[in-house]
Amino acid sequence: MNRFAVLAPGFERLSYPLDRHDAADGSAFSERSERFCLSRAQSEEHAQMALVSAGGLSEHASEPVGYVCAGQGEIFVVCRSSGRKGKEIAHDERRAFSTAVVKRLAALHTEGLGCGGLSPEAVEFAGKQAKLLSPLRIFALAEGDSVYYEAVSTLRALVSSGVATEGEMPKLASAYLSHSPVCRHEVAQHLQKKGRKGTARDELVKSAMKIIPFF
Amino acid sequence: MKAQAIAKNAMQGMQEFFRLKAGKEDFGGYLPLFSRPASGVRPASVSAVAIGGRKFTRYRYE
Repeated sequence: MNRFAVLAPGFERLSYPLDRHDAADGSAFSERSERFCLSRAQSEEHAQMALVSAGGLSEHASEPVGYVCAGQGEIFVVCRSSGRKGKEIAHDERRAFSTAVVKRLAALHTEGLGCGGLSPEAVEFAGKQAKLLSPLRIFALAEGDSVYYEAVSTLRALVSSGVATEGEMPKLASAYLSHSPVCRHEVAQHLQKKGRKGTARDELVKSAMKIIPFF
Repeated sequence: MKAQAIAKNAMQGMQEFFRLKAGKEDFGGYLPLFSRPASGVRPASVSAVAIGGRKFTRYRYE
């Protein structure tokens, strides 16, 4: 049984379903034909930060509307979900979905934000746009942080989950590179450091095929 | 005995109705009928909290 819930104005009605459902990471419930997803937060302070900074991240992630404390004291942020999860995407929409995922990653990197790479399960798809299910995954990149491995792990996650094929990898890598000058610069630096002469796109694809998927 | 059988049938019919309704309208396994507290359910205690200059409502569950 949940201990308490904190809800934003306009979402007070969620206090009833939150009272009835034990909170768990990744669980979802519907209320008045709207879907809400729960994602684990490190602490109550982290959940509060997500709530008050929601406006600035609304382009990249679903909207947090409150948080709930589970019986064991764990905190989960409640987000309003407006799209479908990666596993719910129809076969003929997979290409559009995977392109939307790499574009979202490029948009995050361009704004100096990181997310540790995107897996199809961590993203929702609505109106040809992919958004993170939880704004808690987004962090500000520090000077020493590399976006290269976030791109590589995202490409790998798309292929290993079956959303994209190996043959589609070069196109996805191109889509990622063409949407962010930050990414192009980062990959060029990576090539220079390793003393390689190939193109940035091929280097991304090669690295993605080398790593073991960890999502 | 007859009354018990009628009550049992009515209960089964109701369960079937809501099972079908939930299946059709995709409420994600959550039935809107039960989203409001029925009589006898103790309401959670409610208080106002401010986070980052914005007002939120805190519900403590018993």
